[in-house]
Amino acid sequence: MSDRHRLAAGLRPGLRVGTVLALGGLVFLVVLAVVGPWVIDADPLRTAAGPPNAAPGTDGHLLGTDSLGRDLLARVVVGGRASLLVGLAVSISALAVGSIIGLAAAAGPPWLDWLVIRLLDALTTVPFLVLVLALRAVLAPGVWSTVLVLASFTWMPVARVVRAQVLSLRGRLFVEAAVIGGASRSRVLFGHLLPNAAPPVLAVASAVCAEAIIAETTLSWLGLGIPVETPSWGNILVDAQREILIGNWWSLAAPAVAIAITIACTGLLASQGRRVDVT
Amino acid sequence: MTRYVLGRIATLVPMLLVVCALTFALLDLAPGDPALRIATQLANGPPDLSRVDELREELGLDDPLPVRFGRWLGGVVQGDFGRSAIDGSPVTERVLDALGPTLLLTGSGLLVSIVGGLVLGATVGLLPDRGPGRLARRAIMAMTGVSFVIPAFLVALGGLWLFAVVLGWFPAGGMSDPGEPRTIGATLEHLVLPAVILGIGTNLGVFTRLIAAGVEEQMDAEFVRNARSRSIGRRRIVSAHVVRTSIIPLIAQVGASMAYLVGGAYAVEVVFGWPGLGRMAVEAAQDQDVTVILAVTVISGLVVVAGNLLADVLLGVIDPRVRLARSDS
Amino acid sequence: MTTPALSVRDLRVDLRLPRSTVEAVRGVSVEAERGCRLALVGPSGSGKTMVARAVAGALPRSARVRGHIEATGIDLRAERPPGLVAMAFQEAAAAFNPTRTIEWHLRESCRVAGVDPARAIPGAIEAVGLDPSHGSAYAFELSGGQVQRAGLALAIVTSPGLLFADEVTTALDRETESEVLDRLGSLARSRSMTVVFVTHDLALVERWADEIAVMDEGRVVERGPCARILSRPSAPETQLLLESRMPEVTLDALRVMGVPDRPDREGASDLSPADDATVAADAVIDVRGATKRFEGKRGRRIDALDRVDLSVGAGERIAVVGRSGSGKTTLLRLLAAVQQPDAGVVSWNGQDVNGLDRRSLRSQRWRVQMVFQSPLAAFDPCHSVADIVAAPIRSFPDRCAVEVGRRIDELLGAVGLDPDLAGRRPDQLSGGQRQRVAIARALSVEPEVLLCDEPVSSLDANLRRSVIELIARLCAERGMALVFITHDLSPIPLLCERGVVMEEGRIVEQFRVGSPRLEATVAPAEPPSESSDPATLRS
Repeated sequence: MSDRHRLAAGLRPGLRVGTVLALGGLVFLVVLAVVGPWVIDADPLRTAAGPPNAAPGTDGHLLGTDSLGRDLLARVVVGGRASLLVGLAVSISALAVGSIIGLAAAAGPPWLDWLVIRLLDALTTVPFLVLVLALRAVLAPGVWSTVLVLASFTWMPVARVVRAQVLSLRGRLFVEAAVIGGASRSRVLFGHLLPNAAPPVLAVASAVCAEAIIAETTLSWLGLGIPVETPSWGNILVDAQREILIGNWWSLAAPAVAIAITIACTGLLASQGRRVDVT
Repeated sequence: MTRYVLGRIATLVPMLLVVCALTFALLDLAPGDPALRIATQLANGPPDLSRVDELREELGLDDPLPVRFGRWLGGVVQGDFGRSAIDGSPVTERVLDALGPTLLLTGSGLLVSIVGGLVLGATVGLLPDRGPGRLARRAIMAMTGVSFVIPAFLVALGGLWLFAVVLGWFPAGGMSDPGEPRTIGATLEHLVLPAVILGIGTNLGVFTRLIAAGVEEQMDAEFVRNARSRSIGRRRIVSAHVVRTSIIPLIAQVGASMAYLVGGAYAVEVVFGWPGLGRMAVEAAQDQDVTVILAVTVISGLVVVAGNLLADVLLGVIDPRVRLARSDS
Repeated sequence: MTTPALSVRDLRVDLRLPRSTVEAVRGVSVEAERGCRLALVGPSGSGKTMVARAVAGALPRSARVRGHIEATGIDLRAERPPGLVAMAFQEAAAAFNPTRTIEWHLRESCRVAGVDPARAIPGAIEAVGLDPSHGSAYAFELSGGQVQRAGLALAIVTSPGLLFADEVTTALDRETESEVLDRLGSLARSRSMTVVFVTHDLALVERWADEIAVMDEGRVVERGPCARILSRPSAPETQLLLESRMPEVTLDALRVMGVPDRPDREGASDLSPADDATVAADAVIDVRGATKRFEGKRGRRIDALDRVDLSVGAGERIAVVGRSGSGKTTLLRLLAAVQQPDAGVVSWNGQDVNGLDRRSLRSQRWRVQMVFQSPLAAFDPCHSVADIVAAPIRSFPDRCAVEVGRRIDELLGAVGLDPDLAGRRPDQLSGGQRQRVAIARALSVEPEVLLCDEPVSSLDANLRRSVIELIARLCAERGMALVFITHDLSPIPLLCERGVVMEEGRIVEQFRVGSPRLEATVAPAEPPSESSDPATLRS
């Protein structure tokens, strides 16, 4: 019976380990970001909390301090709040916007489809970073404006996948078989189309999440994302470039590891989604 | 083929126009009055208001948006990207100066990822999946996995630290040492580290996996089994049959990932202080210099489209199926 | 004593899959004298192709080989001299590198074998009857018959002493098959080549082979001269193979059995259903003047259906035969009301279905159920067998008197499936099981008409007969009408009372099938001398 339930959930036995690992990693990071500041007894903003540029381990600073003597562990933990929030908010809005546009293109009139495809092609011609820089020039820096900037240019892959999924599933034989079997329109949509379209769409959404976190760090590092008063993984790195030139590698390592773990987990989740789709 | 290329250009040009129009309209919302800023810059202090009005007139800033867009587009077609919204200097010259270094970096980065992807991918695909071969395969695949996880600019920062600071093998930035003339040798010396890092940070992982999967699949493809039954040697099977067919998805991927590659190049430029379009765009965004951002957008779009087209043509040359499908339509 | 052209002793082939090892060949010994024509026969999965591949050196990478393989005394596991052994592949199109031309492959073979390409290539191309201009083509540009000839040309271009031909004629129509076989025969004689045929087609073996080795589950179960084995099989596996053989049927044979009813082409569309024995009044399903056009390439219009009339009475079983592209499937889709005709009327039980609104049409859908050609594509990949079978019941609860779970078990039992399979997903079933699930789904709401679109063409030959018999039995038991689409005529005598022949979107001929007695329908042992009849359909 348990076997049957697992199959019904669309998961193969061998795939669960990866999914659980990825989800576990993400949950750990989120929990750390939310409750971490109460557990870790350090203020991410307090300068000269310790000696500047202290190596990891000195004076109870587990990950060392930055050039202003701020505790890096506290900064990374609190920085996770902004970075993960941006990743989550961007992927949710990209999922919503992309799904609506993709559905409209697939189900709407042909001219709309034509228009959407041109728009998608046009927006993917210019590097993401340039588009973001252009929009950034218009908006003032801040957490929510960063979300807006990133969400404006990350919905395209979602729209593409949703459109392709709907078009391909709608023509599939099992949909016709369901109609012959007397299935109503809503049953076809919710019972057949959505469950089959969900894994690849969610996979793209989690890839968008990874992309958004990378973009946030890139922007903040360039001084164009989240302002320095709010710690984020990106603006911890503002320091890093200067610091590593004098050999203080830890200012780079701490946020880099946090980013890498997040990307690895979302990436793993995305690839799990894709593999379920194939089977 | 010529007809196909012309057709592609005919669809790509309107696409670029759409991008230009969108970006132009977007940047029109940017706060600040360029005329005021330029006048301030020129007067080196609070400017005369009549002077500002004169400048507005001169720059045509009071015209409606479509008119200004048309004028700007007309200039771009003639190779004039207008004047900087910060200091009024002509943008075209600056952009063209930055284009060379960007193309050099992007091209070398692409070369690194293609050559690296071919070598590593073929190694993985050809090694047996047991014994020491299995270990080497696993190691290469794990490395490519890591490259998926770390964004290009982090790879750049890490590479900068390791190779320029700790090991001191390469210079830490720029295109030449400060105060030294730009010689070919110096440029190459400064190019190696950013190019390798760009290759690793953007596409090396994807290309390695593509080639590995391709080679592994093709080595067991029916036409390779057929070749074995015809007593064709392994070396010839690899060189004449397998590499040729498994490079096809790689070329398609190069075309599809051009925008990603150029974006990656821009991030690397900033880390290494490489005097290219990316660094220029970031500075312009920090200064809210609208004209420069517009120019960089157009040029980036052109570079991406050109790369796309090149990959497309190459694909047609190598894969007859693509060629024939095109002459059909 | 002469060295045999082929000597295989205790050959074992294991396929190492990610999670398991499959013993594909379990100790096979076969010999063939020079010039002999040997047939390796067996159901799919019996290991016959693996034997051929092991000798020809074309095994998949996952295969591990043990045993002795010799050709004219040369140990092929130690060395493989070019031009000694060759193999023509079942899927010839896949056997060519897609980025190279046919001629490039031929030249490559010649160079490796040290043969003069200027002489050998035109000879090989001529010998297989390939158009010389096709040499410069790529495999994917050629039709099925052409590429199969190209594959044969590649196999024989170095004049091998031993040739394996793996189901090379399966994709060809009868006409081309005979021609290719004749050419191969004369080639084998003129070059005194030993030919090993790998096939499941016993008719071909009968006509063509000197010797047979029957394989089953990786072993040779019987070996000997062709005539003796086919007439007096001793191994039970051989007997089973001979029994499950579908009789070869030609349209002429069907006409002989029934009353030929051949209206001239022009008049076909005017054929009044009233002339027919089954009058439209009691028809459970009926089309009148159905026309359907599709937009083809470059705006060209394709008439998929052109003024077609067909009427099926209650419990009547009709075959619709025709080549691919003749409009059979379009007709079936109109009958199932998943597509609307451009002109004409489709009615279920006297009711025009295109006149109904969506809700009323849906309430009538239980009347007509369908079994598709490829069952896997017709199942939602997220659903289990139980979900699939129960889907129509959920839409029409009043069509099911008992509790759904019991009904599922009952239905699975009726189609000969173990009820324990209910929890499986369709991709965990075999091809035959899947088609049985599809039949169970169609039966679940007790329809008045069952539509079948080539339901057995995706199945192995040895499974086809049992599925056909299942459909026949279920129709008879439940008084269900049947519309059965097929390009292969052999199931018709077992299933249908009446048939129509379609060509280019029209019904060009109607015929009656006599009482479905198998004995009367078996084709003459000799192949038909003239195969120009377009109705010998085997696409």
